[in-house]
Amino acid sequence: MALKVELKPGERILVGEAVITNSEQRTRILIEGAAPILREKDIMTPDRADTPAKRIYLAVQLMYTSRDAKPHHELYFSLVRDIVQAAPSTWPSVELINNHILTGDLYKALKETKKLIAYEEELLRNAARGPSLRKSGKGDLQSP
Amino acid sequence: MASNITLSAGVRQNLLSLQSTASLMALTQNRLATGKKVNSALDNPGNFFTSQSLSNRASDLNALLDSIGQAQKTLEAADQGLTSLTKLVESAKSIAKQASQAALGSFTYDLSTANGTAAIGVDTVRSTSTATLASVAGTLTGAAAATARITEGSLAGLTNGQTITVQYGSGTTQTYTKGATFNAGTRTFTDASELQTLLGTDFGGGNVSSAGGFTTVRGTDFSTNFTVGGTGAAGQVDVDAVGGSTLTLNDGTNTATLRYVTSGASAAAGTFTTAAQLASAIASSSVSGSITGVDASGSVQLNSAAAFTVGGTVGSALGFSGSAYNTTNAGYNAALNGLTGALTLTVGSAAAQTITFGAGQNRTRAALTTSLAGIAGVGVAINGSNVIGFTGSSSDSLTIAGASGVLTGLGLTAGTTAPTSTLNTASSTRNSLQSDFNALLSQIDALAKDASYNGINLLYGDNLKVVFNENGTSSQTISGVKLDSSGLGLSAQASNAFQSNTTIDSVVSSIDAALSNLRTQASKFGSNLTTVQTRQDFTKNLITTLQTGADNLVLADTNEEGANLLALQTRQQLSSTALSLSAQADQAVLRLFG
Repeated sequence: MALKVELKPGERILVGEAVITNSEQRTRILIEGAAPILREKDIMTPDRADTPAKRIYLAVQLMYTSRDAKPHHELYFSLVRDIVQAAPSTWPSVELINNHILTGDLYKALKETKKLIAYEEELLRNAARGPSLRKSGKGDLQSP
Repeated sequence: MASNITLSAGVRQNLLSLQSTASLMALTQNRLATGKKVNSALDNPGNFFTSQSLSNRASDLNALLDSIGQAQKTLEAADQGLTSLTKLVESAKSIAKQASQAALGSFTYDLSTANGTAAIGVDTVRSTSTATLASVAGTLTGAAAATARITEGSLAGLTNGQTITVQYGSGTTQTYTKGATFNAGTRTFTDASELQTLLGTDFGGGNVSSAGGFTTVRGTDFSTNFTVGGTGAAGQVDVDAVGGSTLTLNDGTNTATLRYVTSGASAAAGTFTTAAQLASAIASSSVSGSITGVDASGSVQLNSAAAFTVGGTVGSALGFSGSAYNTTNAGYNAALNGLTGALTLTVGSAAAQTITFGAGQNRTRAALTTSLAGIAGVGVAINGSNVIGFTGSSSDSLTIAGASGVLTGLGLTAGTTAPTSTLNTASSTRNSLQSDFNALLSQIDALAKDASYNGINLLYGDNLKVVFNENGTSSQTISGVKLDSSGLGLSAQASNAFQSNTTIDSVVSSIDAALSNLRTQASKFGSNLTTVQTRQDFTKNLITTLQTGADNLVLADTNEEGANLLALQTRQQLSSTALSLSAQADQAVLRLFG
């Protein structure tokens, strides 16, 4: 099962343990094999991981790209416990991520974590709006 | 009895608020007791059912964890089994090696299929003259018969009564007396002519002649001589022995004297002119039983089973030496005569050994026997059936090669023959090591059958299916192999197998293959075990998290959640979590995206 990737000029892509940078033209490449593949826009660097969900994304990404995922499991679990304790409505999302990791499909786990980041952003924006909405009790967002 | 208490509105209000406070208090107390904010579906249905499902999931995963644990134990049992099997197989190898170093039993190595088919007879004596009879005839004197010669003039001077005696060979000695009158009956003569008559009567008229003042009596063959005597013989009579060139042959018992004649050769009389006639004369002589003569294109070839001597003028003229001819200096062998070329014998990987046949080389049985005795590495000799026979002394093969004429003459075939080894006496050390080996194989069989856990034996062909999630969609099947002695390619050795190093060597190579197989299996199971253990650890952690999640459903408020997240965000920045996350990320290829 080969993956078709189209790269914009100058775009970078991570394949296995190498980083490939595209030339000044659009390129189409075909990648086969079991090596982890991540486009530049999907890569989370430590300095950008400033929220709990983004940190979880980074942990899952480390599991995906490293040869031995075991050392990253502990970190992942502590991050997951923290976020579920802080916001239990994130649990269903976390559940899906866990399932994907358990079955070994780390790419899907990353995709699911992206959704978690989006949900977290909503929650944070909601909190930042201020105390005026607290009176209603439930807020203008329903937990999924 | 019904209550008669009537309550006023005010009292009823107070009662109602007391009841609600009481129920609130009960609720709070309940919550405090369990530590959970959501105790029943009535408190907060959504969270309650989520919590329920989390707990259910946790118990499902617990059950799964048990089965993963069982799988892990099965793999561990297989791993231990493999370690023990490897030890046993290594023991088997050392037993086999010990056997190969033990002293061999005694074997006979039969190479008789390579034996020659041409019989080699006994050596005889053969000598051929270096010159033809015709070429030396000029130096020879034709034989002449013996004579007795009487001087006629001296007869007158004899006195009456004086005698002359003449004897031919061992015949009658005739006495002739000088007298006054001639008397044939008393052999009395008065003059030469009367004596001549008397001699003619006794010795044949044709043999007596008178010439040049001599009366000559001639012999009738070439071997008898005259003897003369008598009182009147001195000075009057002389004899000439038989003359002519002779060839004498002595076979150690008899001597034959054969005479060269210029004509009229007769085999019976032992006379000859040509080489063919000489051969016939030999055949009629006293040595005919031992010596045979052959006309070899005019040369004389003499053959005998035993030694003989050649003498006489004819003998030396023909070039025969005066000393005896025997099998050493004049040996002849019909099978070997005329063979020219080399015979090479190669034993195993040693250098080839060559026996050369030619004039003066290995043309007699005696010479060949000596040459064959010098061949190393294999016993080769002219055997009891008079052919060239080979006796192996080791398991090395024998390669025969050589000139085609030599091989045909000896009845040998070019090619390589491997000896047929027959065990005479088995080495008891080797046999006992062999039974030890077989006993080990039974132990290996027993061990392979025993390495099961929970009814699954990965070392006897059973497969193990490990399920990683609750609905069974993620799983792995680990295939077992049959690793008893036949599965490993090792079989019990039949009688006397370990007596041969070739057999032991092939057993050792099957053992090496088995060891390599065991190693491969061990590493396969090892990596399976690691995978299972990793999954197991992840599942354990997941269960803990689920349980934590189920217990900690404290908030129903998304605003509160948002606030909590903000606080968490700040907290994480300062915590060791963030530090270890960046430390781990740094080591990854992520730093290329820096």
